[in-house]
Amino acid sequence: MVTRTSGSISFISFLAILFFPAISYAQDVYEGQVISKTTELAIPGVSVVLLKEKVGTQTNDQGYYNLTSPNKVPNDTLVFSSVGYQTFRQPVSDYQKRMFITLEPSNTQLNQVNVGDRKMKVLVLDKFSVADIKTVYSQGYVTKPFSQSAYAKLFEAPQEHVVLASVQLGRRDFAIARGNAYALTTSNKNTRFLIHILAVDPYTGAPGKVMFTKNITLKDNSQLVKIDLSEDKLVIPTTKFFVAVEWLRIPFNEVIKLDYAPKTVKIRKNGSRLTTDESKYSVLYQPFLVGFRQVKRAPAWVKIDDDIWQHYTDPYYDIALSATIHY
Amino acid sequence: MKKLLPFLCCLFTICVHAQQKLNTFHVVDNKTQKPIPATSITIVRAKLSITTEKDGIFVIPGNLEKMRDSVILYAQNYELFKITLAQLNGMDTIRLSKITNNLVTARLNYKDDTLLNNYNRSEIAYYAGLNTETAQFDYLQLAQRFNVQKPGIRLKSVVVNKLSFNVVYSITDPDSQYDSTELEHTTYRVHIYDVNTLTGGPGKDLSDKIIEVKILDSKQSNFNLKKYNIIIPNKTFFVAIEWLRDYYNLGYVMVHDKKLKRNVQQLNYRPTIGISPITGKKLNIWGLDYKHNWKPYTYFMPFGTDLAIKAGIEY
Repeated sequence: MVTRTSGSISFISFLAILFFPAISYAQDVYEGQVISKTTELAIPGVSVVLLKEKVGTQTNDQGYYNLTSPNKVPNDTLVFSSVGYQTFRQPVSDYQKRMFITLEPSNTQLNQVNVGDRKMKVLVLDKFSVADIKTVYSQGYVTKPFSQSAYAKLFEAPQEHVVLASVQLGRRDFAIARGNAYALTTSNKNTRFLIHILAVDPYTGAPGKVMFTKNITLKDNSQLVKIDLSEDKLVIPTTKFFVAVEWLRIPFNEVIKLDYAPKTVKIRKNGSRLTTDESKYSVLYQPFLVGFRQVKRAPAWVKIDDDIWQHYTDPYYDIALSATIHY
Repeated sequence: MKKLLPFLCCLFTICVHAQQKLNTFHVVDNKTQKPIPATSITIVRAKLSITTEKDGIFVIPGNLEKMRDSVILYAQNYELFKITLAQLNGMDTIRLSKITNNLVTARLNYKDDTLLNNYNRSEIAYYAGLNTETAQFDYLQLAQRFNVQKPGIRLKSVVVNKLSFNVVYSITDPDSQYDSTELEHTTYRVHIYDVNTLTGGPGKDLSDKIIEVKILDSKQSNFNLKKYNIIIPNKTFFVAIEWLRDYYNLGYVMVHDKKLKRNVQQLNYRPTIGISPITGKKLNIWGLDYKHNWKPYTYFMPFGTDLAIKAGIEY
């Protein structure tokens, strides 16, 4: 638990401004995600340009952009443009770190896809919105750094033999999640993890046989992550199935978190005692999933040992993990 | 005084009785007989290491005659001293001999300078120095290799980035009590090494002065080394961080134990040193293990090839 005094923070902030005028790198680096206003799906290939400075970049597959401004121009504007969408302009003064930019489609898009000669329906199971993963609750953002090795959520399709087109998950930087100036974790945008599609064990209802596994690597701060499975042509034979996230406890995924305990260090010359906190760290592993308030929460399980699944219950929050199917 | 009491008791399954013998040792300079402060004491097989305080005193409990391990004493500018625990039995003073360093003298006309291993510190995501589920951090020092175009350059500055969180310190004065938010306090030492042409790793010290970081803490430390007049005799040199494993830097890390199936608390010493966000073509990090052997530090490979240490040189 961290407590702070306003006087100490003000003094430190003053020093930071006085001696480190260039320390506010957040104003020199613009990053965020661009999504469709109607579908909230990420838009890759969006051109992101600083109009006056004339530097630009493009969004990646997750709609994520990271634009560095080497020679900042006052009153500049960020311009987001892409074919099929209306151009959006934002003054840099309105920029907020890792915000979502929504682009309005130029044409109406049908909620259908063509597969061969057949039109198929598109359905998102356990859909969550950007607002769900951006909501700050009374205790702050809800971020789930699971200590277990895997988390699996049960989905139910309207029929058998649906095609699993993609999986979406909400992901958050734990340092940002705390929403305070003195984050007690390091920040790591990189993560590598496994996505499993599992059958339901007919006896226990727990995750059963693994039907499919995909290795996912992310190297950006995208918060809304879409894992495209369209090329994998996954046909789910049953109505019910699990989608699981398995954490890899590898150096690539490490985030260091500070917990601490008090101790007495020394007595100063003036007789005062300086009690320092013994630094106690723990190492967490990306990705950090997002919890959001949901009245009806899907059944979920966590893997506590190599082979043992345990029912996972949370009284208030569902995990931002959805599955898009075609049928 | 520094004790190894708790660790050795656990290791050798010797019950701690009030009557147990405490073997006290003084580490002194062979010529002057003065205590050598901040001597690294390492019990090799047990993989335990501490740093003595200014008095150069350390204590090992138990019957040394029966112990099957050896101890290595290291102090900058002194020859490495190795001895078995059994041989220590009956001794109370360990004398270390100073090394004669034939250091290169500086030229006077350095016109240009450059900064090696530059990086954007805001992009640092990884840090070395903690035990994790993947591996124990069994290193006494970590060194960053630098290559230069010609010998005879002078090292003028070093920048080190390390992990440091803002924590609250409770200060109790005779008349009041208040909180102060500060960065974690840490001390460590910086070494500059020549290259060992046989191994390609760090070789001899290039400075006979001790460079200890003990000023007001910060996440990035910038040292002006001009006064040390460090001349690089070859085209490769190393900047190393030595951990001072003492009370001041002591902390803990929670590590998941797969056998016990729960988190366990392990000792940890600050600092944790940043890994450069720039991936190089080859590995430039070396680690000094408990046997005082330098070997490549591969924990963060393939993406972590360099430490977050910059070097300013003049030529």
